[in-house]
Amino acid sequence: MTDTTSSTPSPYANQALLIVELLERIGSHLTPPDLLACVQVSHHWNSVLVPCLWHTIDDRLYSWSDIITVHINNNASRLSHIIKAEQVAKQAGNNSNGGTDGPLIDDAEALRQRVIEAWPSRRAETLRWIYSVFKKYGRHIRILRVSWPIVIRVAGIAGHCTHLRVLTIDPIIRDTPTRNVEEIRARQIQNEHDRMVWTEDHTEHAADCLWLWRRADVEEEEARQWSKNPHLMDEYPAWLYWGFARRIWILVLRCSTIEHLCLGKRLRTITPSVSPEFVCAILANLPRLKTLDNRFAAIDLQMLLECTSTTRSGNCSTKLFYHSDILMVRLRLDKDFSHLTSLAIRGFV
Amino acid sequence: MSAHSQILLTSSEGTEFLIDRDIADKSMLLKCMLEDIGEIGQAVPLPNVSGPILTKVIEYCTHHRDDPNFLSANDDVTADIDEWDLEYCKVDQGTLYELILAANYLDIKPLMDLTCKTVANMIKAKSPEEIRKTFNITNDFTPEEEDQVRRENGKDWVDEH
Repeated sequence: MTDTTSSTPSPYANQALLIVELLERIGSHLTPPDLLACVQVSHHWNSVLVPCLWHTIDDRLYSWSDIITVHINNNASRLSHIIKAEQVAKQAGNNSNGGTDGPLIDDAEALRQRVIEAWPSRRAETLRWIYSVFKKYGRHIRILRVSWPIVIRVAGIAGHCTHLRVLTIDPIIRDTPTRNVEEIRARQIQNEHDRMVWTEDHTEHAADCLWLWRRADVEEEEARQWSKNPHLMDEYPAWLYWGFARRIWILVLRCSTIEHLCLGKRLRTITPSVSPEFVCAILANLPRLKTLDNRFAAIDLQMLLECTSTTRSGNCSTKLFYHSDILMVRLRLDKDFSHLTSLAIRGFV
Repeated sequence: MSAHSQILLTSSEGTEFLIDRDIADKSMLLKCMLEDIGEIGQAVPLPNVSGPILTKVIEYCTHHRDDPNFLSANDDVTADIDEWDLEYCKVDQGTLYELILAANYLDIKPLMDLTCKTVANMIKAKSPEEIRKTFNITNDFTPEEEDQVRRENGKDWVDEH
């Protein structure tokens, strides 16, 4: 730390810090908590540094449960009276026990705990919040690394994340701390249904993915309605129950800017009814793809190369190495993607 | 081209500085200019840089003249600033900003990174109000807007894990 902070502010400060490029550069040396302070400084700082703040979303670094807690804490004043009322009711019921464990609602940590406990019932509200922030700031995201299904669902809605360069989907974490039996059952039924529709549709329209777009349009309308209608405040949006696999592919389809795509190792559940043709059709929409980590599925690589628009035909001599994460097999192929430099596959070719 | 050739620079006040070519080459602006037009034997005018600031810039380039990693030294944004650089940046804010502007103008990336990193360090762990005070910035948010900004971006975020 330098002692420059102690000096009096200089008239040059505004001059240097008004230059967008310089402020961006300063922002690149800051971590999200500091950037969060910066975007609250002034309109100018806000407009320059919001893209820095939202550039990378990696929920391994920032757990969504904490993020959600922060959000709820920010609404604590509104929530606390609900919680207080709950506790008063509880205490009234437990009067015979003496009730020594009185509510510590003023204590931040205690409030946090109570809020986490109350979280499942506030879920719709939190979803609305995630939806609205992605709607507003999602276009700034360049690197998205997620393991929370809810984030992937929200990110895939039209206009939310359109400029991703890196998309990594990690092994999925359940997006609710606790789930009741009915909810799990409802989800299972929905998944069955999704899988069925998926298989049926893609055999007919694999090449142009029309069915996928059609479903996406319906979903956008649903999301829009839900976000605007105050009467739906406490209901879960319909798009929440969309097939998760479909969500991922829609997100990929919407981001033709993707350079690095990695679908986590344990995501085999998203691929049972996906054909190589389907994957190829989607990858053909990614002209800038450099790295593809498809350890999630054993796709026919030859097919993949022939179908993709970035494939160069003829006797191309560009080197392309495939490597397997298990055997480290290296193969040189006759054809390649013009940009693709790395492809990790499961097992061996 | 001799490695020992020298270049004459003129600061905004007209003060002349005679520096070695390899030091001038640390500035991409000068390097490209000298490569393009060759050494013409005349002073190169730098109307955007004052004498004291040019002295500081030359001091920096001279200290790092034999640094093999000069251009990649500050690529790691999390790396700590080395001791000499830290001392070098202990200047008043006005000088620091002039250094940033000079580094930007002369296109000396490592100096740019160093000075920007120093400013970033002045921001770290401060509240928005403290940042405004430090940099003499007027708060042009209404309280409602400020609250909205905090709420919307507040995903980001508590402490890292």
